[in-house]
Amino acid sequence: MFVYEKRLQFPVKIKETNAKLAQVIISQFGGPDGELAASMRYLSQRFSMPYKEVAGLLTDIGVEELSHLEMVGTIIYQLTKDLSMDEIVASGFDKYYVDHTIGVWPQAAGGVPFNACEFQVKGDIITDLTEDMGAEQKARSTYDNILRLVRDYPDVYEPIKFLRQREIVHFQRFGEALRFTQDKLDARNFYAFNPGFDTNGGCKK
Amino acid sequence: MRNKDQMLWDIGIVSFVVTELVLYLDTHPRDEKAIQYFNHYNSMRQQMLKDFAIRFYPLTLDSAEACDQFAWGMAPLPWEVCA
Repeated sequence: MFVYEKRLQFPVKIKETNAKLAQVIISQFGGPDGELAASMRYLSQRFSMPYKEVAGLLTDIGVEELSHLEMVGTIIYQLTKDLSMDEIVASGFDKYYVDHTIGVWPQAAGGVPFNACEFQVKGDIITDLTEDMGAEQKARSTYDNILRLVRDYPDVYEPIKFLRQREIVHFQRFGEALRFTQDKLDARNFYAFNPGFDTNGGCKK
Repeated sequence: MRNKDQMLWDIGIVSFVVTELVLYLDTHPRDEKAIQYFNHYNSMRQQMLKDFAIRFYPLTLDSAEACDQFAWGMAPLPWEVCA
């Protein structure tokens, strides 16, 4: 089960609206390398993880990703909440506005809706952990791209910088989980069997 | 005496330390120094959440107590700038 804490993981206090920035940052809400995909990926993968250490890590990182989703949603909300109709039209936000007004909906910057195909649950520990490490780097690259666009907006820059740093820490932890996994497998052929599915020689606990 | 924003900032810092230690301990469950740090900062965090709930409003259901009104439901939303 989950409990909620009524505060953001890192403060977001944006004083000026800016619909142009909101339109690119929304990719980290519902885009291909965004926080919704991250949290759903880890919280789904953990069921088929054969080692409780790795399932526990996926749970804790998956929960942290939900708090990042909340931070990105807060950034979008604060960047768009007091927009005038003139600003909506001038910034090109009108195409989003027509379907969602100023509600926060999971989509990529290009308008593509969130889709579960943006992540995978393969049921194979090496495959899934390798995807997780790639996902953290893809999200880090996206935040790097966003940072170049928000350089002149310190209220936006600081929380994005925090989120970028978390991708690097998560990448490190997933790397350790992969090493832990390989230590448990046959060093002559890590792929000889899938410990989450094949039972011969598998150590379930 | 720290004001509300300062206390929230402090809780954010200590909670972040706890989050970092949890992820580290997930992959290093027998690191004694990290376990000591975790126990220290985790109990500090629990006390800070209690103190904040007494002075302002509950951030967690565990620190919420309903008095003349339902404090948990009346607490400000974290995405509001003036929360």
